[in-house]
Amino acid sequence: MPSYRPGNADDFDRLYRDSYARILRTLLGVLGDPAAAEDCAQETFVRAYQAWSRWRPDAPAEAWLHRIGLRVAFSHRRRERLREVSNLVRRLGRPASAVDPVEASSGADLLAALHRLPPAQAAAIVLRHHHGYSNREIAAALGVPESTVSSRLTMAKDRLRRELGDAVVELSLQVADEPTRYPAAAGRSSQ
Amino acid sequence: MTNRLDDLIEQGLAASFARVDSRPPLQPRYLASRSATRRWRVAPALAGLPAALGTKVAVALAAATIAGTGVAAKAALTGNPNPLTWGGQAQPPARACAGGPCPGTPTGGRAAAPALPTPAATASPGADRGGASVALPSVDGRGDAGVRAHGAGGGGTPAGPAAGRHQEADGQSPATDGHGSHGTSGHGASDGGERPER
Repeated sequence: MPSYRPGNADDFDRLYRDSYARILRTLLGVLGDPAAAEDCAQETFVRAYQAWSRWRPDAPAEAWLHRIGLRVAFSHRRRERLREVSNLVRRLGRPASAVDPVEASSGADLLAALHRLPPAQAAAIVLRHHHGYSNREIAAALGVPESTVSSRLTMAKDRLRRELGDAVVELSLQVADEPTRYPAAAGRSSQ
Repeated sequence: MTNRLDDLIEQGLAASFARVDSRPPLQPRYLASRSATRRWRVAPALAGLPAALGTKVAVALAAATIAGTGVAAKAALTGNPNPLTWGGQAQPPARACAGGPCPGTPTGGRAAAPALPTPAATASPGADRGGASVALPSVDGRGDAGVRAHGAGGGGTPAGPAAGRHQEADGQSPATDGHGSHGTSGHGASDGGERPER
């Protein structure tokens, strides 16, 4: 784990270079919109820089950044939901579109399904399945107990399974024929 | 099934994120707040300087302008730029008004006529030409010489041979000779103290 000194500007620059991509991806998983994710990621580092002198090295800096970033993203989603009220009302009664397995395999539908999850559950999914965080690290990033992380992950997966429907079954059969890959682990080792 | 779902999620996330440029921008937003913070730290001592200096300079200029204007006006009136000599040219009102009520002073209506200009008075040299005479008190106690404020009618007829004559103030020679003014007006007009000829 890289060491940083609280309040040191050069160390914060280094933290920014090391962590920006991971923060951005987490926020993209929660928000589903690259532009919004980038905006929130930038806002995350602004807030983190303002509090940088108060950061305590006993917690991983990246988990601390995630905590700030997820708070920013949750606020963004709350505002976004309020803006979408009229759209939701317009869509009432319209039949749900069928899930395209090809689209699901490309990840676009997965992102959309993640976006429909409660933001804390979506964040837990991304932190676990993309960044490879342990329950303890996710708990530090979300600011909740580890037991809460376990229950959120379970609920999130149940809901994703329902959201993705047949695509999951179909693709899980395809995945079963392929060698298992762990992009999250690869991503972590490269940092 | 759960493991397959996990694999699906991981692959789906990797595919989604691969399409997004996740390189950190070279000009992050927090750098702007950093420079703003530095300015804020440096600024307090200097931020108010231009405004404070501007205000002080403006006040100083205004004070200098007012003082300069006053000095110039007084010097023009007295003919002497030395402020120490301005007070010495005042004439005591008692002597200026000797022999009768001063024009402009309350007299119960009895002495209103002399204060008014009359054709006869205007025609005679050294007569009062209708101006109210206000004698300024002497500030140095020397006596009778002084500046006299001439009335509106002060510039009419030439005041005779004494016109423009400058008489030294000696404390004993009141301006009762009807020949002209004492002080620096240079009009030679007899005013105030002299009674108009009747």
